Amino acid sequence: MILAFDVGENLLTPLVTGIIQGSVYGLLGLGLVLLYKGNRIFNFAQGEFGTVAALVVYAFASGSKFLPKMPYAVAVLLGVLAGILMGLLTERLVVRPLFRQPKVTLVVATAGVALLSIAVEGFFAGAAPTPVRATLEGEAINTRLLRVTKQDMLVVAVLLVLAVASALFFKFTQTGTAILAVSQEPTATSLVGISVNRISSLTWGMAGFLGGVAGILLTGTNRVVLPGVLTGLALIPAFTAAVFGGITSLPGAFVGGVVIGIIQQIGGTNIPADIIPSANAVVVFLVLLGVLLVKPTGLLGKEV
Amino acid sequence: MRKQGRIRRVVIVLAAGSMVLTACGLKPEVKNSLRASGGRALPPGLSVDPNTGQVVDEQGNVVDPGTVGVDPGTGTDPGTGPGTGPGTGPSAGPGTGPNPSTGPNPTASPTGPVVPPAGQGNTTGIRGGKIHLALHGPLTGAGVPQESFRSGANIYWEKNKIRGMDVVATVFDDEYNPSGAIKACRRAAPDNFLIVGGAGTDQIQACAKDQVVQRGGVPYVSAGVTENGLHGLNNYFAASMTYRQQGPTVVKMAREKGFLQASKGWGLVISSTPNFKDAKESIEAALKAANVPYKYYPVPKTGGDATTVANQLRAEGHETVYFLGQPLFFTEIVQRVGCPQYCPTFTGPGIAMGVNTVANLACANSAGFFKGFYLSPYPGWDDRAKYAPGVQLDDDIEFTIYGVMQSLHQMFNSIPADQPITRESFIAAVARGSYPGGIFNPAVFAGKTRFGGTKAYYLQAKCDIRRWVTAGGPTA
Repeated sequence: MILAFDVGENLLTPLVTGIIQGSVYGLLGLGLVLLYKGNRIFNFAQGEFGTVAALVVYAFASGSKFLPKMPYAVAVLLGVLAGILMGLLTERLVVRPLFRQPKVTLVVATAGVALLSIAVEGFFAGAAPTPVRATLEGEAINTRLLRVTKQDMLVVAVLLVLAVASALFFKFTQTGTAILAVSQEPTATSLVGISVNRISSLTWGMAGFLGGVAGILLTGTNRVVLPGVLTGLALIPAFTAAVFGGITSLPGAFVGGVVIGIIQQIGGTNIPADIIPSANAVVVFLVLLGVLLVKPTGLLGKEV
Repeated sequence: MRKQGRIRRVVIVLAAGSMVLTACGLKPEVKNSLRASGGRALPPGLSVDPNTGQVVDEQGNVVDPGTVGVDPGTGTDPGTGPGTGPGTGPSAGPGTGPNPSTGPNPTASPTGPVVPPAGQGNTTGIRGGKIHLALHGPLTGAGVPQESFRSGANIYWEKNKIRGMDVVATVFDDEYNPSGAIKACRRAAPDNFLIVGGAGTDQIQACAKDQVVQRGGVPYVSAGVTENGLHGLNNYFAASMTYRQQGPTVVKMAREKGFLQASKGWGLVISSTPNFKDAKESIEAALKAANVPYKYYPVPKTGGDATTVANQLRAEGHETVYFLGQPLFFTEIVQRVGCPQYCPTFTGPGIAMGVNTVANLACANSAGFFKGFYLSPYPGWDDRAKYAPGVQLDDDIEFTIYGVMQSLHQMFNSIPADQPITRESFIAAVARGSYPGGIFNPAVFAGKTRFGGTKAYYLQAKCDIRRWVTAGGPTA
């Protein structure tokens, strides 16, 4: 069987949409990498930091129930703060009491936080999906082959800025070094006068911030928010992106996300679904498997 | 240090205790036993069937726990089950005999009438002068106003009775997945007379053919979805047109509404699941008959990548897109095709896409340019006053559930007056019955089929009010 190959349709379109799609994964993956660097755990609640932030933005921007209606920018600020608060509360109520327990206990605990969060979100917001506005309205490109919205471009730009800023933070600031030190040797770190608790709070607060930003941008891209939306839509691809890029590398989360997005799109576009159903997911896992076999630390990952 | 140790011990004891309690609660025989006997001990010779959760005697005959004398020390349980034979009325005393209720389950042909032996029948779900019905639907995660499932049924039964008995409808969350549906139906079966499938093809199919529901002879009524796996079930009734039946009607609607002929053909975006195979074959046959070209886009059952699908649709330039799959995936595709520059007319069979929540999201996702025509077993929200005059309804889900209850009422009324209401007499009556409907279209089973839908309405999306409105029909 000879398949017609159109450079625009089969390559250019999936390449561009892959970068956009992958940026969303990368954005969520940044928070995962940060916590892995800081605590050596996978945080299954990362998606819900984002969902809570997005729900708060919706609640204040629309003035739902008893809440006052606020300008969108203020609502976004409150949403990001809600994400940070979620991170801090998770650290204080769940992570800190279990800090000396085996890491697997902590990982399971974060899964518990995610499930609890989804239930609480459903209680307050209801199960129905709610349409939300994009952070930036309008389209940049809309042709037969390609459609890119301003929101898409915002996501890519924000991811780039955050990935670079986070990498610089760890490379050039003492706090960044302290986070890495706590993750490596908490007892020795506290002996030199660094407060492990404060560093832990800071790390989780930053993860909450990154999750919140990811949640607001992703729901703005999809134009819909509902309980558990980030966990359901993006957490697994974000994990894949983080591992693919190198779970200890913040720029790796960016690169991993974008590469995963591109592979997904090219695979999904060019492999007929009646030959391999869900081809986009299959190729991602094949490539991931290959990378991990050849380079187990991921594309940019290395031991600290 | 010592205080910490004490706290730890208390926490461990509490945790262990809660785990034991939880484990006991999860053991089906314990749960079923407690449920079936109302939390009391069963008399000697009776036990709980772990599969059905029903109380059975030593011969395996089902016994109505309401008629079983429990707690022999007091013997005061009045029994809540209605009489089991004609003319006896509700049982008044602490009956001890096995409920003649079920006896051997009639095994008539799936479409033929099933008449219970005189004086026998399963009356599960009828107790204390009330008939208990169960609905299962996606109360979490799938995007419908959850309270409306409950309130729609309650509003109907507040003013209607069946043979002087009140009707109580309980809603079970099926979590929008088949295993959740099976769990919900297994919970519902021991306490409810029949089960109504609210939404979701896979959930409806999983529940209707579940072995516990089958063995209990639980009547199961739903809107028409797939026919796959539902043929030959004695207990199943589709009260509206199935996907297979709707294929030609979708094409008929497209012709009447002017979006049938498309120079770039139709795009068929259909979840690649066996349960949509009949829908796919039906629409393909109808399009071929109408000489309309089409291209099929299989998508994963769980939705998949909306961006890829939207890119492909836009590149092909289809003027019409037939979509059958997950509603949220649908709204994602609507968003990503890029209205108004490329904005095809979306169409397909009822029932899932015709919910106003979907119209609301699709309109919001397309800057108000969404063009949609879908079939539906019930009219649009704009017609509610015509079909439910004087009834205060808050949304289209309430309206739909109200309509389902209306149809169920007609089904109950078709049981001959000289027969008791039993699961068997209900199934027998509906299997040979024809119903005028009301909000739902007429359903005709007439001893020939269990897929009784006859007609469908046309719904058109109106983005200025973000709802579906009636645009035609009902038509076959």
